[in-house]
Formats: sequence, structure tokens, C-alpha cells
Amino acid sequence: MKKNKQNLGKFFQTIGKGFRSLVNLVWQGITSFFRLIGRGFQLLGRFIWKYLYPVIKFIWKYIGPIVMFIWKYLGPVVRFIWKFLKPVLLVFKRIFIPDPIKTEKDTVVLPPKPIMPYILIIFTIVFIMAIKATDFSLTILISRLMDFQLGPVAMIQRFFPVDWAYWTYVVDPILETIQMSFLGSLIGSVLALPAAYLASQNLTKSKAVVNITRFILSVFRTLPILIYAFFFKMIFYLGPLPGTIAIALFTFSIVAKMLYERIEVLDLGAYHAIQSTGASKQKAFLTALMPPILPIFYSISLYAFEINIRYAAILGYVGAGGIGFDLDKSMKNLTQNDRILVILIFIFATVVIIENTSRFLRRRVG
Amino acid sequence: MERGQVSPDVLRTLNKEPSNVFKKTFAIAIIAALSIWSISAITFEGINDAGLKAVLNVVKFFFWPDSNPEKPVLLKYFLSFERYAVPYLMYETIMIAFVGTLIGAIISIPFAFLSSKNITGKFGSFVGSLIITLIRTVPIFIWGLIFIRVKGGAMAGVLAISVASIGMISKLYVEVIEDIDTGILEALDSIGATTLQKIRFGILPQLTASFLSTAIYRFEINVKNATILGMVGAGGIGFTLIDALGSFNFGVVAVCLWGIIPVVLLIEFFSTRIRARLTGSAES
Repeated sequence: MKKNKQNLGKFFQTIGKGFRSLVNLVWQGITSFFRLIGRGFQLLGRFIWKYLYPVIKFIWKYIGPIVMFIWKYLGPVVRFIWKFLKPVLLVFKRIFIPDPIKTEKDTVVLPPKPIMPYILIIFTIVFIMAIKATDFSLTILISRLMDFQLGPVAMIQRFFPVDWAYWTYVVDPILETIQMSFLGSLIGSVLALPAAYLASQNLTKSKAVVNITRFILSVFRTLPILIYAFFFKMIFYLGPLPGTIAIALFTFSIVAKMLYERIEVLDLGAYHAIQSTGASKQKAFLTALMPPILPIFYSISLYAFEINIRYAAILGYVGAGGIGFDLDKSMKNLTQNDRILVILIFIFATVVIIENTSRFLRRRVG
Repeated sequence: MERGQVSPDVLRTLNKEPSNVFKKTFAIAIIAALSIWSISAITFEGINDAGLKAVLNVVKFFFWPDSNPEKPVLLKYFLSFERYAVPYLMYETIMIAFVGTLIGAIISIPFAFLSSKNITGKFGSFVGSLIITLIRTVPIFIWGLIFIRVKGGAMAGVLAISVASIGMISKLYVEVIEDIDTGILEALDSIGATTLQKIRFGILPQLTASFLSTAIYRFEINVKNATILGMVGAGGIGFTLIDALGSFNFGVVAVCLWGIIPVVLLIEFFSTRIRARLTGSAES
């Protein structure tokens, strides 16, 4: 019993000791922390007193009187100018913060702060930066436009007289351009259907799948088609194949985007209704969603074909088939400049014919 | 009615639906014929092993441009503000697109007014739209090569982009102008507004939002265009990119792609949001 009591006492003694040493430790920490800060202030004060104060004192001794003198005689002038400047500044203030309007009932209405002035200011700054970055100068532009020997007018003069006989050599590349863009559009559009299904929020329930698909599509859309064509030209040899694949990839990304945007606003009532009768998801999709999606899909694919013709016309610049190669050659080779208008007229005719056909079909389909 | 039997009403509606068998087969036949004709043009000459290796290298370097320890590019081309480095080139590219779009959007205004049916009539609008289509046909490289005669570098890019933008911008402007509600003008007449006031309060509010949204949309496209205009020497990142691709300098290619992709993504993101706000406020 006694032994037990002794043990208990020892136990509390140890705890007390431990507690005391813990408090001690904390207290020492706090004090040394403040001592450190105090030392820092001490050093700072000493530094200011020793080095900065004399400098300031010296400056004030010689410059102070001058400032006082200026204020004494210039002050009235400044106040006089301020009297006229204040209304002008007020007008400027009113542009950014409109004055409150007092109504008849003595209530004050604060008009909303306009954002247009800020936008205009930012716009102007960006514009000045842009002019500097691009070295744009109107004087050079005008003087070179007037220069008929070396300027752009001279370049256009080289297009004449037109070498009309060249047209026989244009037909094949133009047909190749149409073939490339047709096949590319077809493959790309067909591939875009499943991608659009995965990317539309109302059909695909998993948010991760939707977002990943959309992100991949938008990354595909960032690079210009010409760079894809260059990559595919490196893999396959020169010719229409790399161009077709590049167009297919590009069409895939834009058709899928336009399609999922249109699918998302569709009414899914019929789809769910058919599912509620016990039909499988696939069957409900085929019967309820295919009829509204298909016309949209046809219309978008035709539109893609329409714009792809223009892209296909420049793919030849990197050697990916089509008319672009001849265009590049006749533009850069100064002896063949007279061919360029023939090529352009052919492109123009093709684009107009295809655009009008496609628009006619789109009106029928959509 | 038994289970599994279709009700006569449903059947009647189903039978009423016109069957487009002929039309469908015709369309499928045309598409099939066109595809066969198109496939006939394509020649597969095998795969260029060196080229495939190069493209795979581009992909490999895209994930880490410093894959080749002998030619570190990240510090020299991506994290510096020199004139040959990607940040400055992307800045130049965006600025080319900015000035080009601005000039193009301003030049498009007279073109658009001249080719709208409700202003110049049927014949005038036909001529105007013909000119617009003519301008649209000429690829942007041709404009670049023509305007290189003015001054090489970024200024040629600006001019090429501004002229090439006229086509699309004025085409979209025309649609807006043709949709103008002239009832507002009559209403302004009835309260005795002057011509200037009619333009200021009757026409401008109807046009500005759509015009701005069109210009922003075109800016988005022009940034992409400006990235490739460098290929003909008209400024921007294109020259560096194509040069690096041609000389198998994969690190630089990857770094250029690192510059282009996020910038275009960001611009597209903000452009979509701003346009949604602009057109939304125009409707309400």
C-alpha cells in the first residue's frame, strides 16, 4: 500500500517535471523569438540612425528651402491651373463613373458603371503594341502601292497577258483536288459520328468521357490543316494520299464539334419513351435519334465538303496533292506568272459550283 | 388487342410516311460512284520509313522537347524572349492576326453595305457578292506573296490577312445588314429624329454586336492562318516551324507546337464566351 503511494507520488512528480520542462521549452521559444525580432529592429534602427538619417538630414538642409521657396511662389499658380483643370478632369471622371441621377422623389439612382471606356483603352494599348510588333506603316504601304516597278502592282501586272492555253494542264489537278476533298470529307464525317456521340452530354452519361473527347477534338482543331498535311507527306510519299488523310482528320474534328453542338439541343423525349417501352438502347437510338440526327449530319458534312475544297486547294504547297502545287510553282517561278489567273479562275469556278450544289442539297436535306 | 400487336392507329401513321426508296438508292449510288472515282485518284506508294521515324520523333519530342541532350531547346527557344524564340513569335503571330482582322473588318463595312440587297438592290448586291467571292477564292498564300512586295515580314502578313478576311467578314456582315429592322427607323421618324440620330440610335445598335462577334470569330481563324503565313515569309511562327520540320529539328518543332496549341485553345475559349455574351445581349 505504502509502496504504491510512493510510486504514485513518483509518477506525478515525473509528470510535473515533464510538464514544467515543456512549459519552459515553449517559454524559451517565445522569448527567443521576440528577442530575435527585437534584435532585428535594433539593428534596423541603428542602421537608419547611422546611415540614412544623415543623408536625409543633408538633403533636407539644402533642398528643403528650395522646395519651400517653390511652393510659396508656385503654389498660387498651381492652384490657379487646378481651378481650370478640375472641370476637365471631372468630365473624364464622368466617362468612367457616371454621376448619380436625382429623381423627383428625392431618391438618388446610381447608373451602372460603363465598361466600354476600359475596353477602348485596353484596345488602344493593344493596337499600339500590335502596330509596333508588326512594323506596320502606312507611308511604306502607300509608297510601295504607288511603286509600279517593284511593288505589288508590278506583281499583279506579271499575271497578264494570261496564258489561256494552260487550262488543259489545270483540269487534272483540279479534279484531283475535288477527289481529295470528297474522300477526305466522307471519311472524316463518318468517323465523326461516334466521336460526336461520345462528346454530347445528353447521350453519354460519363462526364470524363465527354470532356476528354471534347478536349481531344479541340486540340485537333488548333493546328492548321497544312501542318497535318506536312506530317502525312513525310509518312507517305508526295501525292493526294497525305492530303486526303489531312482533310479527313480536319473534317473529323470540325464535323464532330458541330454535330455534338446540334445533338445537345435535340429533344430526347422520343428516345426515352421508346426505352421505357422496353426497347434496347441501340434500338431506341436507331428509331428515335437517327431520324433527327441524320439530316443534321448530312447538312454539316456537305458544309465541311464545301469548305474543304478551299483547303484542298492550298495543300499542294507542302506537296500533299491537288492544285496547290501548280499554284505555288506558277507563283514563285517568275516565267510562269501568267498561268496563275487560269488556275484561280478554275478554283473559283469549282468553288462556286460546289458551294451552290451543296447549298441546294442542304436546303433539301435540312 | 393482344399483347405484342401494334395498334391500327400506329400502323396507319407508319404507312402514311412516304418511302424514299428511290431517292435513297439514288443518293447512295451517287455517293458510291463518287467515292470509287475519288479512290481511283489515290495512289499508295508505300510508307516512307525515314518520314515515319521523323513523325514519331516529333510525337516523342512533343512530350518532352529536350529529349535530345545534345540539342537542348527548351531554354533557348521556349523560355526566352529573344526574337527567334517561341514566346516572341507567338506574340508576333497574334499581333499580325489582330491588326489584320481589324483592318479587314473595317474594309469589309463598305463592301458589305454595297452588296446587301436592301441597300443596293438586286443587281448591285449581285456584283458586290461576286467581288466578295472572287476575293474569297484567292488563297491566303497568294495574297502573302503579292504583299511581300510591299514589305517582307510581319507587315506582309498583316496585309494578306486583312485582304483575305474581307470575303468571309463581309459575307457575314451582309446577312446582318439584310436583317435590319426598318420599323425602328419609322418609329424614330415619327418622333422627329434627324438622320444622324436615326443612324446612331436606329441602325448602329442593331449592327455593332453582330459585327463585333463576326470580327472576333474571324480573329480566331486568322490566328490559325497567321501561324502558317510564315511559310511564304510573311511573319509569325510559321517560318520557324516549317524550317525546323524540313531540317528534322524535332525539338524546335515540338516547342513551336507547345506555343501554338495552348494559345489557339485559349483564344478559341475566350472568343466563344465573348461571342455568346455579345449575341445574347443583342437578342434580349
